[in-house]
Amino acid sequence: MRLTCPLCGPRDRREFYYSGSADYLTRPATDDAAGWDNHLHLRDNPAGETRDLWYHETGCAQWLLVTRDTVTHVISKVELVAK
Amino acid sequence: MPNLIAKSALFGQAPLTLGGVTLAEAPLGEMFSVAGQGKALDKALGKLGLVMPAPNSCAVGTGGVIVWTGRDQAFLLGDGSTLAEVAAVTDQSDGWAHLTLEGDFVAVLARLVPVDLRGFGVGQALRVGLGHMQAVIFCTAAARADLLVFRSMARTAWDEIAHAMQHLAARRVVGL
Repeated sequence: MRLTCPLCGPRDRREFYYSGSADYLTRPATDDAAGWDNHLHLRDNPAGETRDLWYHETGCAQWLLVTRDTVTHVISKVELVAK
Repeated sequence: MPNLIAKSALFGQAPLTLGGVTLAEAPLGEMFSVAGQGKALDKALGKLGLVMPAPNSCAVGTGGVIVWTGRDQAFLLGDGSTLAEVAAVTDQSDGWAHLTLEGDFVAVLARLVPVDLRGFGVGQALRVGLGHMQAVIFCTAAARADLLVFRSMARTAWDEIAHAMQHLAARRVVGL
């Protein structure tokens, strides 16, 4: 498996650390208890397109937002989380 | 403050030549991390004959060598103190080990680096894994690669590269 880092180019999977769902990028409001429960514990498990966060650990040290398909294993997009 | 003796990470290590490739430690020099962007930084770098490098590139100027190391970040092998007003500058001189590989470095590094280095040449730079280490590899002269690894990893890096060189030299002996 390879990810094409927007900065470094195509790189081997072992350079990356998998963090989890891209949901971690959107935090609920401080007083939204149900929202936090959902944010921390509840995840969709889609058969199809999914978005998750990867860290380019032995590369440029950037967080990446990866769009991939859990059925076909196609990686359709890799973006920098930082703007 | 007493006058301390500056020692490189592999102080006293003799160069190793095997199979036409020479591994050596580069002389201890100044190195600064330069993080930032903007016109003021570009102007200050311009006085050193340099620009902020594009991803995966490096360049040589009158003020030293600049190597891309991350988003809006570069390492300046030279005096970076003049940039302190216009960028986030930290002295990294004693934090890294600097090795050089002269000769057919591509074959050696192919055993350690998960990137295809065929075609890697002057002006290019990579942040990449070397074995299990994080490393910066850059090229400022033909048939020569410069490697930066964390100083604490210097001996490990030397050992792993030396092993790869031994394996390649041994294969050559038996005609592989």
